[in-house]
Amino acid sequence: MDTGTVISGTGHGLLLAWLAFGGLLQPAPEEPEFSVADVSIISSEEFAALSRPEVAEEAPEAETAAPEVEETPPEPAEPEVEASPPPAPRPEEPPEQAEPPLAEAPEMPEDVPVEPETPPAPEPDVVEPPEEVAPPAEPPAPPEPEVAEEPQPDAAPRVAPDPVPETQDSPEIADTPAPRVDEEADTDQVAEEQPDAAPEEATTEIVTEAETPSGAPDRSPVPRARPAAPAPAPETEAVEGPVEVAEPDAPDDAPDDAPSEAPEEDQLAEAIAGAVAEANEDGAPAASATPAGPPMTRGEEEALRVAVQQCWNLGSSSTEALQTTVVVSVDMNRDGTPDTGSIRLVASNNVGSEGERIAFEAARRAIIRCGARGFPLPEEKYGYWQEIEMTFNPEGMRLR
Amino acid sequence: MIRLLILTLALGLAAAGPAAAQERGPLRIEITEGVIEPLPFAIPQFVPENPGAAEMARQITRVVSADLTGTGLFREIPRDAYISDVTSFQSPVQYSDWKAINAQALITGAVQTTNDGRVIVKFRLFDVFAENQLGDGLQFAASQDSWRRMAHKVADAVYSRITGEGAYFDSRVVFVASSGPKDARRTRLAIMDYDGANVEYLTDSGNLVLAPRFSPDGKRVLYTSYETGSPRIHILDVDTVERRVLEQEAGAMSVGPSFTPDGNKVIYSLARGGNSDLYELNLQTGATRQLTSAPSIETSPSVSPDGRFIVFESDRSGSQQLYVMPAGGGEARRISSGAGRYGAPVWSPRGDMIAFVKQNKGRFHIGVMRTDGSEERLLTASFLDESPTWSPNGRVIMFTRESQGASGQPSLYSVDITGRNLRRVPLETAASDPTWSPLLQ
Repeated sequence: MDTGTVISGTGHGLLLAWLAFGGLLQPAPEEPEFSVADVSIISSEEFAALSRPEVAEEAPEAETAAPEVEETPPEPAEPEVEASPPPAPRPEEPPEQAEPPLAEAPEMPEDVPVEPETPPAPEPDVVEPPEEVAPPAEPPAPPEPEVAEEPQPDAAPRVAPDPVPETQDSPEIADTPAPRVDEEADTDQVAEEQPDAAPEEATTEIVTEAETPSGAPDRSPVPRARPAAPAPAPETEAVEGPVEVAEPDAPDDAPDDAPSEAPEEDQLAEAIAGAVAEANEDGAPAASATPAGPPMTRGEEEALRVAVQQCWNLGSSSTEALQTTVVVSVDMNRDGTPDTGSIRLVASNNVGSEGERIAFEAARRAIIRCGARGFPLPEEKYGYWQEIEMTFNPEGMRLR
Repeated sequence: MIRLLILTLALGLAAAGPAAAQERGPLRIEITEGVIEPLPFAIPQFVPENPGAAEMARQITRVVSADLTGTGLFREIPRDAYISDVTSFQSPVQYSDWKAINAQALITGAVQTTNDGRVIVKFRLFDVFAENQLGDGLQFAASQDSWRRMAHKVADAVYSRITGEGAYFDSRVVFVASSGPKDARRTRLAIMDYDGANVEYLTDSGNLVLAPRFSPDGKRVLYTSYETGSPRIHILDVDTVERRVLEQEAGAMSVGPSFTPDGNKVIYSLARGGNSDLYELNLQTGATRQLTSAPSIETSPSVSPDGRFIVFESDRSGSQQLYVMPAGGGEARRISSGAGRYGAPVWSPRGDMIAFVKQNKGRFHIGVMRTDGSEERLLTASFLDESPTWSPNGRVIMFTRESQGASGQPSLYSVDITGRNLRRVPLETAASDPTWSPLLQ
């Protein structure tokens, strides 16, 4: 019995011992299952925390970190808020690795002076390129001012401010990556910004160029001379006919009925020309003497103006007369001398005043004195200057 | 349809043809740049109509020419350049002869003396290039002693007709004549023609006199005298030379008097207890009224011609500046805004400008500005320029210029409000503090 009891007791003891030791070994693998459930509770923080440790682990150094920083500039505020609360021990490690590049950005300049070469080089490079973007934008402007005078320099400053904000954004980005991706990133950014500035200038200048050609066609006599001189006169005459008499109708009818109704149009055109000629003859017998040739050129008018103004003496005029503008009419003789008896006051801005009288007398004196030997006027254009209205405006001479 | 369109167009062109011819109109040009130079004029010696008038005719002609030339607006053509001469006041004018020498204005005249001591002067003015007479001929008659005034009146008429400005030659100037060294000057009031002729003394020397001011009618003069030891305001009758002290508060110092446009009141500065304010004194009732009551120093009042405003100088802003306030007192508005110190403002008789003295960077200037302080223009620059006074027509300013050094003496100068024609008034005595009378009647 003793042996039986010993054996049974030993067996039970072993069983109890196995149960005791075996139970301790099995619960350990079950506990991690509960820990997994705890992880699911932290899911809101995991999303940000787990992603960073992965990035930090995947991109331990250099090149990959730089592009991520460039993409994150709008996000830096979020990691800072997350970094402030230390929820779990695990996320703390990755954020410390992820934050340093952002938090070290301010620290880097402090370290940069220790490394004199790299930090100063990137910062000035980054700051300058936006400023240099404007100068390269200006050089294209000067060649264009040659085409159109002053409006283009005005266009250049307009172009400059637009690229400036873009470049201002780039230097902010450059501050953070500067220590690592200095020259490459800078050169790339500058190269991209310059072409952006150039096309903007081109657009503004095109507008000004479009304005300038509008003033060019003032000189129409040049195209007139071409059709008159060459031999194919009939063609040009046929073109001139409809242009002068019936411009609006000619283009509409020409494509449709040009071959069939051509003779009828010729008859009508002759009738129209006759009617116009009769109207001109009846309505303006005096005017027939006026418009003979081409009108007065600006140079001819300028010569007349200079001839009159050199005799327009305001030295003895009252202060009131110096504030009076008068319009004086004069009939001219064919030899360029004024008909002194025809000089009359047409209008003034100080009607009935003593200043008006003085201003008119000074103007009349100028016309008579400098016209005594005849003004430099082309006799063949007498029809255009047989009557002249001169406006004497002393506004710019009051304080002389 | 095509025929209808063409006929309609033809009718339209037929109607528009003459209209276009009419619209063509005269050739039009604008002249904006002229020249500023004296107008050349010819003034043959006035014709003496009796043998005794020859010398007077010569003198009158000389004064008329000097008046016009002295403005800087006219230039006399030398008589040796004349092609034709005027031997009779009635003879027709040979315009071509005067055009040939570029005489733009021609003045002809005649002088006649009578046995009763009178002189008769008549003249005509011609616009040579327009070949017509400017205005009607005029004739003046007065005692032979007044021949200079008649010459000034002829010049005034010519000046006004050609320039359009008011006259100012027939006027007088009261000033302070001084003698002796700088630290012990003896001063007295004197009166002269505007051009420095006919100087007469109005007071005895021995007492310091300052800042005379003409009344609007030109018959009285206000001035400050130290006759009683302290500055007191006196009023003097120019014709009788009688003077009296205006009733003022005992123990107070009164300076810088100025008439109101009606001549019935005097605006002056009264210093009391280290403070100076502006007061108004009614000459008829003797009543006084305080116009300003600031702890600063207000002096040099000048009333606008319409009597509505007073311009004065004050240091209420820390430095001497010009202010304008209603004539009855009230809020003052600062009108000077440039660098330096401003003082001695005088309202133009036209009412459109204010003359002043400006001190800046060690230099003194006479300047003018609009009554609102705009368009400030400095006319002179010197070691010491002060005491501006306006000509009756508001075109010329006379002022005092004192030369530098212990032997420096004050002199009177005049300048056109354009800044041109700065010239010294010819006087044999040192002179300062001019006040220009209105045009004589």
